Amino acid sequence: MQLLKIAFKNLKRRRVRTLLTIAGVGIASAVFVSLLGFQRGYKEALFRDVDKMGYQVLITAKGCPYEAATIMLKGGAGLRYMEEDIYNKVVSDTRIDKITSQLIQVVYDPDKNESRGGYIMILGVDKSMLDLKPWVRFKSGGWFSSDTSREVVMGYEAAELEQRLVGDKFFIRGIEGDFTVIGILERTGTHDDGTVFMPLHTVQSLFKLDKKLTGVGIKLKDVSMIPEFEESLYNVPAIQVISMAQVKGTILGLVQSAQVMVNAVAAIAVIVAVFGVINTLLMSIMERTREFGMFKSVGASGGQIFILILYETTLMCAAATICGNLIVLIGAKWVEWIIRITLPYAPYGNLVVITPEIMIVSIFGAIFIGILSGIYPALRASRLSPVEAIRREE
Amino acid sequence: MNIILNAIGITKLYQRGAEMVKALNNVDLSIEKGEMVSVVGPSGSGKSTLLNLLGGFDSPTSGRIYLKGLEISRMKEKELTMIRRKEIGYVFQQFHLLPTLTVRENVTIPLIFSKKRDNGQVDRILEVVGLSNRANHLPSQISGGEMQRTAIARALIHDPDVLIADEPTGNLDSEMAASIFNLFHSINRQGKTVLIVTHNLELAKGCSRHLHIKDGLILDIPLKNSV
Repeated sequence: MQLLKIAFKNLKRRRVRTLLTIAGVGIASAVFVSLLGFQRGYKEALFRDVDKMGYQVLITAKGCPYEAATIMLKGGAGLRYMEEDIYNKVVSDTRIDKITSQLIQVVYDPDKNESRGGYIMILGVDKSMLDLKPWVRFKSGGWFSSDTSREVVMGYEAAELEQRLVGDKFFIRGIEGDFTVIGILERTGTHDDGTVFMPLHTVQSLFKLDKKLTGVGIKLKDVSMIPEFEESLYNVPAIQVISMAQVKGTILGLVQSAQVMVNAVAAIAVIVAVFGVINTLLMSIMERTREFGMFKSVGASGGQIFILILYETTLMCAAATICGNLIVLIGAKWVEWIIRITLPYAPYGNLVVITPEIMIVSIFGAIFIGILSGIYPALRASRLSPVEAIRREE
Repeated sequence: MNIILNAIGITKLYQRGAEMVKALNNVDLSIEKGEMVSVVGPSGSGKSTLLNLLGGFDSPTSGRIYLKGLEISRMKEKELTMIRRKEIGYVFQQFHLLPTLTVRENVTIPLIFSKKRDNGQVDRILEVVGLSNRANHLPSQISGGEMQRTAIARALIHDPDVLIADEPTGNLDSEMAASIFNLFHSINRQGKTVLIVTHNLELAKGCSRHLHIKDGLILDIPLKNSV
């Protein structure tokens, strides 16, 4: 039997107190792991979403550039329109590698989501979109037969949700007539999965937005040309040029500034947990004065008692952080759900990514905190005189 | 004469509030190897203080204490720890067993602290104290007398020369108390020096020597006179 076993069995003596302390540290640990997981997951998901738009530069009508970029990322109403001429003006620029124009429309359908209502995102595109998104593959069917056909290509999830197969008819509320499903895309892990694609000219005609676009996506031959390219379009009226790197940085910056507040709360949770552990240990040590006296009377050194207490805190904190990690692993989807309903823009895919590195960091972090919070109580216990225990016998 | 414990002019003062209490007053005492000594006296007379000083658990305000010729009264904590690991065994009135450890595990504790392996001595000592059949029981599953036997086994596991017991039968009924005293006699017959603080004068009669403490002074007299 070793000191570690004594420490473990000691914790079982006051089960309720030990469990409460473990719960406190475990919750702090879960908050910490969730935050780290969110930091990583959100960034990855955002970058993936933006990168999978396929372009580095976006030309939109003047307005808030980030609002425009966000709406184009997640869909939504309120976009401004620009003239199609812009596309014709820039398309011949030799710095451009690939270019595509698009028109976004969002239609509310009260019958969607089991009559709870929902939006259908319709994206008017031409075949150049496939050049910018070479990873897009058809699960079945193919591209539109013409630029003006009444056909739709459905994203993977949109097709699943609407239960449509190639050849089926598709109806859009408020629009007369039907559309034929001509193709269904494979899953991309982006907002494209929930999108219904239509020929650009069809969308312009259906929504009476002739020669209008919501954006032009551009991939340059050389990314170092982006500032220069932006500069060259600076004086073109009614448009703005947004680099997607800026969009990433700005969205991330906005989320991170909100995160500072959350991190502060998490830091307070950790501090409270530390004091909780210290308090529990100090109480335990006060109650166990005689026990430490007995230990000293049978030959324990101050150092051994110090280590015994550190073992106890370390065991408690290790158990707590393992529980905290398990809670997060089980409850990550709930955390994600809370984040999605809280944040104005949440990218597609997993927002909370718990990696082995995060778990290892949290476990070692908790053990470090355990050791840190155990030092003072352990010092007090190790300095107790054996006579303290014996005197209380009188 | 083979003196194992020798106290020369020991005085112990305690601060109790604003008052200074003299627990022991210039006491001289020699104890020979193999003696079985009872220490009796009224509550607060300084019995436990004397035991704590002789066991190296406390240091005197003045005077010197020698254990096997080594002055323990001036030793540092580290040296005293080594003395406790080798030379002294201590038995408490309240047993101080760890409730989540079995009898065997409780007895093993001193070996853990002195980083020694159990080479069968735990089984041997459990047999000596008559607890072989209770080795895997928890303290809550055994009687008061058996708990005290466990505490005695724990005090003896490292084979000390001196066994100090502070009111070891204070929490036991008369039958169990007699049984524990018999155990002390048996241990004493094996050559151990035993010092016992007790209120039980009947049991103390069996000891080879009696110290009566009163007002911080030792009266080294036959027990019948002390009574």
